[in-house]
Amino acid sequence: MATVHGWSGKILWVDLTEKKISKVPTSDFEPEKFIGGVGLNTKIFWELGSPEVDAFHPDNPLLISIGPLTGAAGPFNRAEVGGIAPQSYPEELFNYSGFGGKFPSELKYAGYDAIVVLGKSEKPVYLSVYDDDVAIEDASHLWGLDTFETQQVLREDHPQTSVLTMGPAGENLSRIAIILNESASAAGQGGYGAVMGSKKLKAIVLKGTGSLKMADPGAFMALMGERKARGELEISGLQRWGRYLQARREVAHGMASNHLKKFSGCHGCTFQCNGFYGIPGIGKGGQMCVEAWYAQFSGTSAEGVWEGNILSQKLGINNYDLMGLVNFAVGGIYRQVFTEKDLNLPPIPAVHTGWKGNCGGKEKHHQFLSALMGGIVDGSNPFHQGAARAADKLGPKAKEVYDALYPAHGMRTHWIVGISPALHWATDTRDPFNSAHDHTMCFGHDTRVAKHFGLTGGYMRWGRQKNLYRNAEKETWWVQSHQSLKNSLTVCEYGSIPSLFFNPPKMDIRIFESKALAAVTGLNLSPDMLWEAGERIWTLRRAVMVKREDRSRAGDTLNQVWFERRADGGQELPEPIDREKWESLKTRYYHLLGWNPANGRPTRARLTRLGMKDVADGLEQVGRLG
Amino acid sequence: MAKKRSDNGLNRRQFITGAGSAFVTGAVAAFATLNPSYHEAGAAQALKPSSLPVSGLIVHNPKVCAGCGVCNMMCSLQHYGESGLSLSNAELVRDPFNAEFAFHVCQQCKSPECYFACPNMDAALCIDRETGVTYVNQEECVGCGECVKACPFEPKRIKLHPKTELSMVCDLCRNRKEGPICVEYCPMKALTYVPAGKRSG
Repeated sequence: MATVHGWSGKILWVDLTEKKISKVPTSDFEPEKFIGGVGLNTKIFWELGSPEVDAFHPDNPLLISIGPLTGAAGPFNRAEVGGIAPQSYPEELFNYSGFGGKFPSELKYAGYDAIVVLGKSEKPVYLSVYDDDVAIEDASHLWGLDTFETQQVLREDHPQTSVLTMGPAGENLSRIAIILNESASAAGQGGYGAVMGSKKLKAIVLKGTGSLKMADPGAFMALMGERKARGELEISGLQRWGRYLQARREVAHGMASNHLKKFSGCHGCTFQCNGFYGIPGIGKGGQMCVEAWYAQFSGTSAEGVWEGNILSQKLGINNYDLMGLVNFAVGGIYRQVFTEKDLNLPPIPAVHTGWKGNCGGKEKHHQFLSALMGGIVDGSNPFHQGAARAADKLGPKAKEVYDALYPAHGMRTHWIVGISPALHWATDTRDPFNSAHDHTMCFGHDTRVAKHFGLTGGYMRWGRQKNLYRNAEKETWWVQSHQSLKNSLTVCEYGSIPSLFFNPPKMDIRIFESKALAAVTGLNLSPDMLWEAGERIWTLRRAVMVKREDRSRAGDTLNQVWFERRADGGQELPEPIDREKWESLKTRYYHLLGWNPANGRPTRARLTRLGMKDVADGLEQVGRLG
Repeated sequence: MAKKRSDNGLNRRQFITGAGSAFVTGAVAAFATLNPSYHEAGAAQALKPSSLPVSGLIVHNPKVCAGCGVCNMMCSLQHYGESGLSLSNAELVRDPFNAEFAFHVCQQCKSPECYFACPNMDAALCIDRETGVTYVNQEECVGCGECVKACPFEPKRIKLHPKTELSMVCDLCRNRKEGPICVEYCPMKALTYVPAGKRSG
């Protein structure tokens, strides 16, 4: 067989306790079956025995994987972080969070498919990687610095390198701490910044002088050329998310006309969707989608919006969580469940000005933001532990407010807009939607594309939808397989929406991904075979959940309030979920995926069909085979 | 693979580096006109600066450049069949915290010092007689580095491959009928190809 390209062939394996650096062949983890990214992370975690330790235990691996397509021009330059996540609720779960920026492609050029960090250093350290030359260096001079300062200091010592780092929130083990590369490229979900913090690993500095060898460069260029000819490499559409799409008009206009420097984005990507802004006295950085949330409570003040974004990035706090937290805080205060005092916060400007005007001015904003984020960093604010644990602390009534905002499993970024997305979340380990926009940006409203893939779709056009539950399991299965696949290849979320590259029957997203993989690696997997890899990865994730966390049918659920009334928020479900229909939907879903409907565990038959006999054996050993 | 050793223990690069400068100076002075039968004659021939054809060049607009590096990736793919930054004939220097990016590419000098410095000129470092494009013939290049030393720009616009140590320079994708691939694929339209007739300097 011809040489397989795409993968670098080795994994950088670092033990911080023993100060030991080694290189492990990627082939130990069957990359042709588990691809890379989330798939590779999950496979490594499974092979490590899915350790039943807590997130801050030295045996919790910090996994950073890229995929075979990483390093090629296009929306392929992403990495996935994995490991036991401190943010997960009600217990710490094995989880995932992706990021872009420059680091992922640099990792490929340095010659690695993944970095695995185990153990715990006594003193702050950073990892320096120049191709094969890897060292653990002292980072005591960096401890306490924010994410921007850390990167700048390290880039002075290591010019033109790419730095992955965490901020003071990670150092202080906040459960909502991020890992950041450059600005606005963060592994936000899961609190992995705190996993780095617990290992005393301040940063990873990376420089790669190698390259991604391709099996068929001509075919890859032809694929790019075809997309270009059809106008699919044009950048316009996605940049609206970098233009404060969700903010008030005054803010969006103010930011775009006064403070927008240019557009930027992840390395090698043709979309460049981040708005790069700068306001003197506050700072410069990127913005894409979620960072606009500060506009929800800052009224017309562009400065307030921008200060929030810069401060959270520097301190290393997840913007998604801040969005949920402030909504939670405001909800609780309106319902008189608690006051700002209980949260150790000054008055929330928007609440006391009725969400109008400049919401109390720059000074009040500054006070509020500093108190909120300062408290999250030093632990004086219960939000240090994330919203779920803060709600637990604040009592049962606060928990009700929380439940209406956070549908399931701890992390909130999006609202649930249909039954199929609801089932997706119920069976995942976190809010899956920021890597499953297939629901909201495609099938929810685009029935044409849905039909092409044998799905129903259209549930975001309320009134037209007669039976919300019919075939919902198929879309959940489709999106979960695609999500697992693209997070493993690794293809960017926005660069892989099924309505893109849609020119059936010649080209669709499945054909595109299979052709790109063939051109880069030389592996000729048909779209169906590649799809099976997606399903395999999703099923392996399930096996980890079942083995480590005893995930069961009962655990695949949403918070009670979603079955009782229309929950709070913007684009929520049109009606409460019907418990009976929901349970029969789940049964259909388990059948479709080859899991035992009685307990939600994968069966030996399906695991064997997906080429994971060893996983079936592993589950049988602990008595949890479906 | 570049380090071919000669008999006295010096590798080819060290050997030619030592001999190169004197040789080149002589060559430029000695040959005033182009001798198209150079390869057959086996002697170095050079063009007079004034008689060199002028090529077009690639111009970068830092105001809109996003620093994405699609240019580098496509360049390396086009020329070497691999995707990587160090394999790109152009270099992108990034300051992501100010979103400022510099693109260092060969300026296609009207009097290319690199060309005159090449001890094996017209075999290793060549000028396309029709278009005036400077290009490297890697089969003949030994990686002596004289061209890099001679480049008047800082940072240098001609560089040595990090592994093979052979010379690399932008050749405006002379063998690609659609023109420079970086210009075509730049998503921000930050790169422009300026044809010979429209060059300002």
